[in-house]
Amino acid sequence: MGIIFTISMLYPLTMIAVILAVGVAQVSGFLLFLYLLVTLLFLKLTPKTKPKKLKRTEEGSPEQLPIKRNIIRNVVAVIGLGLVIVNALPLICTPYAIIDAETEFAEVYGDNWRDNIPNDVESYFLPTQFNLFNYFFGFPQPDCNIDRDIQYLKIDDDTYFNFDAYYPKATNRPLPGNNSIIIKIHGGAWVSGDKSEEDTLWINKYLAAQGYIVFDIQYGLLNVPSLFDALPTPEHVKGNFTLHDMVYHIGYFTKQIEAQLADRYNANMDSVFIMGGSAGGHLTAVVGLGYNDPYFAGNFSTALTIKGIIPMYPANDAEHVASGDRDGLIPGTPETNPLAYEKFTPSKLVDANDPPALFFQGLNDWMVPPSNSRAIELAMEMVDVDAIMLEFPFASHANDYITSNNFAQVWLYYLERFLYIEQLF
Amino acid sequence: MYGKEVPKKILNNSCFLSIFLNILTICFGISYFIISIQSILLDIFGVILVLSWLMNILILYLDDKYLNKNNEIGNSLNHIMYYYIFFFIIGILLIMLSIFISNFLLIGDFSLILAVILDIDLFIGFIGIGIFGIYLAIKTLSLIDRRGVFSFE
Repeated sequence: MGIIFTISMLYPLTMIAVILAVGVAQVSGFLLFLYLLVTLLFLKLTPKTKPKKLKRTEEGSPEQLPIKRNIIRNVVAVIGLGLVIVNALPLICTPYAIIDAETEFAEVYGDNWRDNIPNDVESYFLPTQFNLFNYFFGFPQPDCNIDRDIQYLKIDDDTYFNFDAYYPKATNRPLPGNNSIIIKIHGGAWVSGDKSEEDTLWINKYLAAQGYIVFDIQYGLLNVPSLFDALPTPEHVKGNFTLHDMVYHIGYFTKQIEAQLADRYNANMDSVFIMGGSAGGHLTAVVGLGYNDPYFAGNFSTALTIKGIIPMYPANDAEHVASGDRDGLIPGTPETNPLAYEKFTPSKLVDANDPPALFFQGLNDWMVPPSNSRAIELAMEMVDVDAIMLEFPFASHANDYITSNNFAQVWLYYLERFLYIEQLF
Repeated sequence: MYGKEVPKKILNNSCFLSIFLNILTICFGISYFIISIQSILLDIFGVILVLSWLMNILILYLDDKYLNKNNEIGNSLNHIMYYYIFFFIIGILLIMLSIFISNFLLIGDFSLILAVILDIDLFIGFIGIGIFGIYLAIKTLSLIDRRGVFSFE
């Protein structure tokens, strides 16, 4: 099983392996100890030597042949150590991810970018990019207020969308978030998934504890069978929804922020961030980069100021997004409806007035390859819009799910600083 | 003679180091459970933790390599080693499970109970590995000079 897991982490050859890879790289540090122990167990159970069979000499008497070393022990030892070394690689490569992130931040904010963050604010943030202790023992649960399942849009009795609100507990101390808004858009290939799933729960609470108002929202999903049906998905969000509908739903939510939610939660509409992973990353990029695009005019609240977008392992190419079972996501084809395909490809939506972006991308992501996020980054850089790409060697798709893993710790360190710095601009 | 002294010294020193690292790890861990603050000290603690686990595994390997399993006492130590390997594996799995599930926890009545259970799992996994490691190291030290238990005696 260790061999299958390790191969899945490096080269997922089938969809099952791709899904396995989502989990394996995140716990490779644990797995390497498990493989070490199992190898030791095998070595203990396997005899060190085994005698060869007795052979009869020509005279007919048995000849005792020398005892030979048990080759199987050596093979087990080599395989075991090999698995340990390979599974140590994601951890070993963490410094490279940190160096890369430092370079990216310095390019955008200057070498002394940390001077923008006062000491009292730093005290709320992670002190280091990575530590082994948190890797093996996780983070403590952050404390915040949570309002769950608040309806924001009703299509009919069977179709409606809710959101969860995470916000800080009352305190006399000013918090780094300054009540800035974060709109979270979940992933699930536009056909499945739900708000406040997987790591978003912990991240939402963490950011809320820092003073952000996090709105984790549902939106309409295309109702087609999918490999991602295993993800918990409420029935009331499924329908014949296109990407246009999804943008409308998210846009409607921004209007709800303006109309009532900003007052209710004392949220700062002048400082809004949009964040999402996978399909949510694609929608984050479309909404964030298309906020002022005439194609999407009328969808969004004009009272919100988008300070930054955080697309995590986002899809980019609309032709690929709306293909196969998901061809219903965009009406028509690239030939009959080229404008829609262009506008739902984030790299083609970029202009000089767009907000800056912070990307999370696993370099071993076989589900949504790095070329997607790089295309968006490049398009942004071409028009002098800040784009920070955090790339993680050996990370697969959605490898921020376990927030204490080596990828997510580095990500979190730079995410909280990005959010704070961009509020200042 | 010289060839037998070296492995004995290595095993001897490894056991002392293991006891020291495991005690440090347990103390740090208990402190963290009581006062959960993020600090640069956790970096040092994390390295000590990994070293203690590696040292425990090294002792398991050295014991297995030099133990005389035909000896009654050696055989008994061999059984303890098996128990420790299984416990170590279960301990790591418990820790993994706790971390995995805690990413999905909400704050609420039922979730608080779940959080406590997961913390206990984490504690058992982590403390158990440390305590068992100390026990194995002490047991090894107590037998290291006993004739016939190890192949270097």
